[in-house]
Amino acid sequence: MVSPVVDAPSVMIRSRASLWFEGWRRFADNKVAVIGLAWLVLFSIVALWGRQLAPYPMHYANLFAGNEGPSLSHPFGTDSLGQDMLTMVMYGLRYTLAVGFGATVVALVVGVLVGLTSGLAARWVDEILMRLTDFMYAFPGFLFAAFIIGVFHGAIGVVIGVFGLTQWAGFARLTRGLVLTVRHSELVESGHAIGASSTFIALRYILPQVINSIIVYTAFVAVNIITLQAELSLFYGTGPALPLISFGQLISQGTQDVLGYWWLLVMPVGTLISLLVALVVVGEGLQAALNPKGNRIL
Amino acid sequence: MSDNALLAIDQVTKTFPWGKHRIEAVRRVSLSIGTAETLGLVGESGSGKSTLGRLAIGLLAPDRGTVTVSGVNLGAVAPRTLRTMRQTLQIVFQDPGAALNARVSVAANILEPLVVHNIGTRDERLRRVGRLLERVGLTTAHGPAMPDELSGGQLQRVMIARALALGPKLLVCDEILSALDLSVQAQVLSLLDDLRTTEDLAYLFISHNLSAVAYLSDRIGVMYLGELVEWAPTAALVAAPKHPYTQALFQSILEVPVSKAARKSLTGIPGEVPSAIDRPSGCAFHTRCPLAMDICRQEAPPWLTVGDQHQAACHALAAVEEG
Repeated sequence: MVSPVVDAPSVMIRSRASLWFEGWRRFADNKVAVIGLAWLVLFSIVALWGRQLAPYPMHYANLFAGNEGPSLSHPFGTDSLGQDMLTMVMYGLRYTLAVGFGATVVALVVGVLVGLTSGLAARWVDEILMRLTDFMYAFPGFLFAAFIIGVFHGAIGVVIGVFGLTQWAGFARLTRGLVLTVRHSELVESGHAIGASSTFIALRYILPQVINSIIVYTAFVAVNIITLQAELSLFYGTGPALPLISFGQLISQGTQDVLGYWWLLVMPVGTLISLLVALVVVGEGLQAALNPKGNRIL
Repeated sequence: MSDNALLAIDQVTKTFPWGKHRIEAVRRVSLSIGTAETLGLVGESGSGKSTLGRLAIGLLAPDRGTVTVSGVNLGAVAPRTLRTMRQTLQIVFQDPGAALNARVSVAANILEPLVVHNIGTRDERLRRVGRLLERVGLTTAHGPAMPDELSGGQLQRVMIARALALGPKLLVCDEILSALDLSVQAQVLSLLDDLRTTEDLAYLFISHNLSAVAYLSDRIGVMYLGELVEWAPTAALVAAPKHPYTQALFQSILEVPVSKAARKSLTGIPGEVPSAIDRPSGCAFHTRCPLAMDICRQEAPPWLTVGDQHQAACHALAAVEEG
């Protein structure tokens, strides 16, 4: 006879994969964010393989077909030299996304490191780092960037460096604030109460809280950097040397010829704006996806 | 202080920095809790109850005095040992929504203490979590739920299950009812009452809800501005509170009396709790005490035995005794 086994109830826990899936579902609930993400993916493909995808070579010009409106052979029209605007916009996207992505990563790394150190280290370290951060906040980064980029003719590494190193203050403040809040929360206290080590608490309680908000903030910093960079070439005429071209340069040329040739302005401006809008809506979608409680991070 | 006490707090003082000053959140408090005994702690906000609760389980270290658990001085052990000792000392917080990890499921929250102390195999742990859920009046179906999918009362049960996971001997309950609806408060109270017998638990039950404290506690200590002013077995304290502060506290209980006269007799304590930064001299309660005399403003009151295991610190009581 088999003795009856009284089976203690076991319990299901949610797997990491299912949590990721739920996060994705919350993101996907926001249809606009999904469209924005698709748009960003499309732009990234154009940026990465623009040279192969562009309908014409960068230096192609047909003086007999100057200032033509949008058509099947030139969907974005041509400029006064007969250059294909779609090709120019694709190259512009390549440059803009490289700068935007690169500079945002630099700002993220510097800012988060400064913020984490500030939030966890001794008081005097915190003081020094926060004064430095205040300084960077007040620092006329835009003028500084105009100067440096003017001198170096917009070499891409320099542009990335300059924007990255002048735009990290927001990351530093956000990270420090989050660390300080979480550090004194009941959540961390309850971690200590169950006897968890500081490492366990930092990795399991503090980091997830901090990281989610930072990911969301990153989208907005990228918007800021891309706008700044476009403004810089637009107002100061500082931009990369050909064959690189920035949106600012395209738009600046477009403004000179806008009367009668609307596509020269509308196509690059429209592309740039759609890129910025896509970043913002994806940022909004990430808010929902990363924050199960539904309260906004920013 | 008996030697076989589970928890013995001896002349403990805890201060916190406050600008350029330090405030005394807990001041020369001594108390003890025996195995499976419940000590209630009452007092107004800012009286140091919660700080004392955290001192009792070593979440905070006292500035002066000692906290001893089963004969081991918490201040004298290595941090690693203290982490191990946490298995016997647990706390349930006021706001489970803030104290639980909102990013993982209910079951994962209860699992965490077992993971931290590396107890059992994965399968054993999951079974244990299932038992704990049922023990606190939930079901295994609640396991995969996320904390924000549960109600306040259910969350507080999860918090209790998490605290019970390591099989503690002492559970500090820090204002655990104050965020709950009245009907849910009663359910949680009766759960604590059950657990006391089945799990052999001792409680340090901190609350400003006098009725709840009286329901659960074997003995009650009354705190005012970081100091213990009276303590007694529950029956004695409820029947005949001696300290003017305790008396005033009992008169300010809000209930629904039957007679109109009784409804009108509800009286608050005049004035507000003084700032702990600028602590009154002598007896800290003299600024609000109806019986205050000159000596109360000058000297700290002596401890008097006013009944069986019933003590109070008051000059006015001393004057009465001396006749």
